[in-house]
Amino acid sequence: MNTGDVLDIAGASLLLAGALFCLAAAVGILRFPDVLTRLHAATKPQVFGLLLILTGVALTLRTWHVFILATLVIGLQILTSPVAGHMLARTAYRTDQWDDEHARVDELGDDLAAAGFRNKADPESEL
Amino acid sequence: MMKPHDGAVATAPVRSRRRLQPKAIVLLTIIWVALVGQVTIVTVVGGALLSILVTLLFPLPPVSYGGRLHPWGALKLLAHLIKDLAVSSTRLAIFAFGTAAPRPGIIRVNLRSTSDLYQVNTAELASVVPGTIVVDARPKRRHLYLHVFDLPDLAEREAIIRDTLALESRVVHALGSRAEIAALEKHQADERSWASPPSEEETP
Repeated sequence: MNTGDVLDIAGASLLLAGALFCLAAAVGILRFPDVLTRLHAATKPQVFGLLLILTGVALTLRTWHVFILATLVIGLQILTSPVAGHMLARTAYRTDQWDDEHARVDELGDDLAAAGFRNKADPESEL
Repeated sequence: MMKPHDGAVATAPVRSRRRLQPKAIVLLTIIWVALVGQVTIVTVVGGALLSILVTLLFPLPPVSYGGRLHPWGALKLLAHLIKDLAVSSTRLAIFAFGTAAPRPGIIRVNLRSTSDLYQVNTAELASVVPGTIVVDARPKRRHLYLHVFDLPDLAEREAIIRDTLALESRVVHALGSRAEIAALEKHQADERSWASPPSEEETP
């Protein structure tokens, strides 16, 4: 077994592990209760799965171009997915589309209330 | 009616945003060449022209940045990032396939650095730190509001705050100037002395 075989096997197992994490992200998006918890599934296991898959591809193909491209893709993914996640989270919070009944604490809500804002849509005020 | 002085004030930042940005152009050209995968005159010149176009069409607001990149600090930041990603992904995967329901919460973290750049970087990376997503941020008070995926008790809240402040410290150590690192370390030392029970006459 030479070095190439070892790298091939390592690459293949990384591909498999990455695919598993992407599957976990998909299952999480389906099963988690509200927008904010689903966002956790959409940002973290997905990025990590992609990182593993691209590392696996780079280990299997072993060319500089693939290595540079994979680094670029991972870097941009780590930079952009938190921004997208944050925009969704902010919108979900401000439009009160998150599951605040099961939340332990909401210090943002407390601070907003202390500053005179109300986040919750109050049904009585609309009547 | 507008006085000439007002006009000058209003146009000054716009003019500075529309200037050529050599560093950004070089970086974008390198990315372009890497994407194409061939180093020829056509790709390099074409990439440079595209980069100039992009930086002129979509100018970013200027960021005041007095630090420099510390390779060792950046390496530590990267290593921690990959470890954090692995830990948080595994935890989320367990939740995704398991039956336990998460107990979420939103907590406030008071950052210690005073720069927009470090707050943004910390907020970015806080989204991969185990269990948190940034819901909101207050630039004036340097507050971050983090949605925590699973918050079983309030001890966990302290742990999240500690992790986020440690992350901020790593960001400043990777990118900050010497004065900023010293200021942060002084802040940390102060907090440690606060955390240990102070003697009676020292408490205000």
